[in-house]
Amino acid sequence: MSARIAVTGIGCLCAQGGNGPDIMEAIDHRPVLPRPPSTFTTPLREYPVFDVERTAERFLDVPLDPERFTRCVRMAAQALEEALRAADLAPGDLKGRRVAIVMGTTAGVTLSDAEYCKDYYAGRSPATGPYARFLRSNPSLALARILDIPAIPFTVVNACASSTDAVGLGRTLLQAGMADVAVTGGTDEVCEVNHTGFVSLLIHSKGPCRPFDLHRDGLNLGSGAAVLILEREAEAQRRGARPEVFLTGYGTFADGHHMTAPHPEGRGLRKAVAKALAESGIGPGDLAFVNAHGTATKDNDLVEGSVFADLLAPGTPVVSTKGYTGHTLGAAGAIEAAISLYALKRGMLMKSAGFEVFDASCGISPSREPLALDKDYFMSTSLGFGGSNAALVFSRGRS
Amino acid sequence: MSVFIREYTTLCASGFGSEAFARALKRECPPTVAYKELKGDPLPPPMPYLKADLAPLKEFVPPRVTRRMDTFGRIALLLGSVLLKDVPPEERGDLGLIVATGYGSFTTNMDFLNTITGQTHAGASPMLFSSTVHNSAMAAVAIHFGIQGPACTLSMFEASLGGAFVLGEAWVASGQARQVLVLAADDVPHLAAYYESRTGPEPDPSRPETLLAEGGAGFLLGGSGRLRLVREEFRPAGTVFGGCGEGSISHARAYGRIACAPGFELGAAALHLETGAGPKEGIAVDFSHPDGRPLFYRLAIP
Repeated sequence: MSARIAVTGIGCLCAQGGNGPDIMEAIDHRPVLPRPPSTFTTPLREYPVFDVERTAERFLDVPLDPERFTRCVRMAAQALEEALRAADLAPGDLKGRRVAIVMGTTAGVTLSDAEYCKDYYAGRSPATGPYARFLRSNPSLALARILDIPAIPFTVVNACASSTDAVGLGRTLLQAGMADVAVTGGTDEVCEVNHTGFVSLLIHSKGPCRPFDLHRDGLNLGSGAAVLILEREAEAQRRGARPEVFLTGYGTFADGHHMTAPHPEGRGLRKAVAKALAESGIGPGDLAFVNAHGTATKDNDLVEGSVFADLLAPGTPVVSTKGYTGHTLGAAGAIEAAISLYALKRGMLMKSAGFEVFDASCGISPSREPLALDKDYFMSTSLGFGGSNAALVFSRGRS
Repeated sequence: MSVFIREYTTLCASGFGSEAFARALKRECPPTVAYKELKGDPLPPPMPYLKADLAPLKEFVPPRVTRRMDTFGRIALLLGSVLLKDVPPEERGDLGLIVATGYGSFTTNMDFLNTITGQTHAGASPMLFSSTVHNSAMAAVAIHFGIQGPACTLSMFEASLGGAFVLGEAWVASGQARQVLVLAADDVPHLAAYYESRTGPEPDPSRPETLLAEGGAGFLLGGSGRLRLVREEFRPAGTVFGGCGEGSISHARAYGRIACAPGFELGAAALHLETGAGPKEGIAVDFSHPDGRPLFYRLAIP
């Protein structure tokens, strides 16, 4: 029988706050709305985003110098510190163990400093500092350096499914006995490249996004990071941890269909959902809720509606938390898993921000009010450009 | 735990395929040196780099399919085409697919940025933007061959291919995929060449091992095959290809400086073993990254 994989630490930051409690407090009582971009210069200010404007200046005693590390790394380090604290682990505790660092991203592996690129192409011979920072800031390698441990690094770049796959890959490595601890998650930032790109694709909204709503007109981009520390349950117990939540299933499949559009019948997503449920040993009726990818684009929400109509039990609550976080791209899956885990642990699901009018063609009616959770499992799904589809199933319960 | 190489191939400035690579290892065909024009004031001299010839791609894939594809994607598609040519279409659907890359679609990202001009950003190309994601090559391969199994792109510079083999091994061992196509691909982005011109030593075209290079290496992994791969977490005794430890043997003269160097060293090890030139106990290849744990794969004939 496969080892049960415990989530022993969670850390998260997004536009709603810099840590888990602050995020949940904001979501429940005073959610912030998307704002015009402020961390980069753009004429497209009418397309608002959920950005993170401040990040921690240190990871424990390691300075997170903006000249040295990109915002993606600084956000990831902030989430990592919270996750380690929650797991009751110090970096030194990891030194004798085989640690895999598995982080998903999109902008974290590109040079997001548009001004530098423009200067180069204009022949202005820019200094090499921003490029050196890019080389130093690959998320998994940078976290290994910040932690000062010789880890097995994985930076997963499966577009918007990146961090769902990163968390799932961490589980795969633990179950295969190829690692003892998996530091998993994702980090991403809104920058001029992706903001302009999504506007050019005509799928970025000018107002707050409305996932699954009849009048949805596109997404809001967002920045943020989340880290989930995964361990085999028995080993976590041996070091004194008392895990409360578990990663029970994971599925990932390619559509093999189109560069940007999901398969119209959700071919890969169906398989991912089915596999994640099967690995968990549960049926659709056991899910307390699903945190859908729910980007608020026409195509994505339609495909998810079609798949969920076929695969979920009638009445299964569905939420999209992108109305609070925006679409954080390669960090989205990890951030949504983290927020959903906070909700599962407290037994109360937040309402789905932005949803008002039911869309019959989509068929999903997310919760308009907070909902008490009386079941122990939830699923989180992600779809990405390039036909990446992934699903994770988590559970609560005492060891 | 072990996994097997069923097929492998390489593409570098010395040529395409195992035969060309074997000749390159014997120094029978020198790699093609090309020059990248850089921007700057004053204008820097053109940067020599090793250029891979992608012409063979048209033997496998109609040019209309690849006309908008960047070099990164074309390299991956060419490697995949060779490795899958004998795999029946009905077996391709369940394949696992892993693309390992140092720079991914970095070049396309920069090309997209170049389309952002003016006060409205109206010139931004949505077509280019859709190819700026690093999994664009993975998508192109999956779409072309109808691959619908687990798929992943990894990008952490020189650590990418090591991660790809670890993940491929895990997928095969766990039954998530019976066969896994591992493709390592990279081009030479302009900004990488520019950075090199400002910070690196003077490039010497007569020493290919010092030059940035484009190309890639591909492997079809499975639970059985021509060559057995055994992962080792400590530096093994005996012959080690790649890396920079004492006694390491590098063949970078044939392929240059590229993130997927361990893929070429693995190809070299495979050629040594299959031609009877290698030691009976096999050859270990160093996949370690300076910031990572030691990672070696020992290659042997089963």
